[in-house]
Amino acid sequence: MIELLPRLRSFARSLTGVIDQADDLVQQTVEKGLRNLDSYTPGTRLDSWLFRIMRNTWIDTVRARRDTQPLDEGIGLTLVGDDGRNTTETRLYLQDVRRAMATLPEDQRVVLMLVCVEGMRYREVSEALEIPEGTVMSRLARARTALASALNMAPDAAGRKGLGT
Amino acid sequence: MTNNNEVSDEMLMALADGELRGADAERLSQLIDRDPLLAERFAAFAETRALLREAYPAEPIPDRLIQAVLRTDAEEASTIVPLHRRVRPAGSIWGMALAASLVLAVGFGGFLVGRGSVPGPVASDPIAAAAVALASLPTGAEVQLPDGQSARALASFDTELGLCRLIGIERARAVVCRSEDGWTTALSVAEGDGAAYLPASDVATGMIDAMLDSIGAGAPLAPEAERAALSR
Repeated sequence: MIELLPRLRSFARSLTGVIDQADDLVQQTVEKGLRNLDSYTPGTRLDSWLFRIMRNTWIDTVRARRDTQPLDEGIGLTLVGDDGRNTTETRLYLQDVRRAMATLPEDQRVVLMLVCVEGMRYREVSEALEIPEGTVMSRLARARTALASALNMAPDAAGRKGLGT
Repeated sequence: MTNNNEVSDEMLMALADGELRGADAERLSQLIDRDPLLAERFAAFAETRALLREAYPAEPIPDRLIQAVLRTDAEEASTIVPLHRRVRPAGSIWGMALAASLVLAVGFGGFLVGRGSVPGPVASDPIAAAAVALASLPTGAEVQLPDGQSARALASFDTELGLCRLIGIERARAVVCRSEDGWTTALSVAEGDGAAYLPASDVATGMIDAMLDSIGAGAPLAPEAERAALSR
């Protein structure tokens, strides 16, 4: 389960949009999961099972408290590596990325986080979320297209500047 | 796929995500090379991936989350966590194999099992390096290895062989045990095909479970007990 923590955090971040809240959610999920291990079927995917618990927990939380804060506060301000990209400009841009993420529907954010951030394969996401692989792909493509156009990097956006390499 | 307008977003995205392989991938790459419009559409997928990775950098897991797993685990005296360790096969085969410091190639699931034989870009033995680097650090701790991989202590066990630890590095998991000469790799399970993710369930976990059972490992050590064992 410790090994799944990074993925659980990603999933939680995609649900909550805020890191503090995401960690609370992970903690609740882990505790609930461990208390209810009886209902886990050995040999099935532990991550699917935990995702399900997390989602239900989150739905309960949201019902109890409607408003979610915006995505910005202090998330990921520590950029990995100091190869010159750790500039204010990059930070601001990455903040835009996170802001754009926050505007996407939750189901799209989830697949984006799991594939692009966690590096999971389509098949694994499909198994973990228990949705068909085709659905993973269509959601992911829609999400990426929306994100690209929000960030002005869609093919039809004029004067687009290429990022990275 | 002669008309470039017929190339779907899904296909371009699959290529950007490394999901498209072999001849299909090559054909599509060639199309992209020849068609600037297609190249731009492809770039949007490749760049969103890169950007997201940067926007959500991997950060150290807060201690409280690790503690949450361990604490509840200790309370419940669970037999499952962190790997679902329910099976207890008559494990003498593993014990013998271990004694012979096994070198095994298993043909299913794409995993290679062996001692110090991690496939992929790793030249020296990252597991040995990880065991030493993590030697005084508790479960959940992460270190950066000289080759740039990160290694994490996943659990510690009291076993018939003494103190053993489960260690995860990017493409492999290993059980290392402490002896007088330092840490010995008892088992390593590495992903065979160079993809970036090792499923937490299935084959690899089963092998590690069986191996741990065969050396009489119980539930993972609680933080206190682990600290004491590590400082011994």
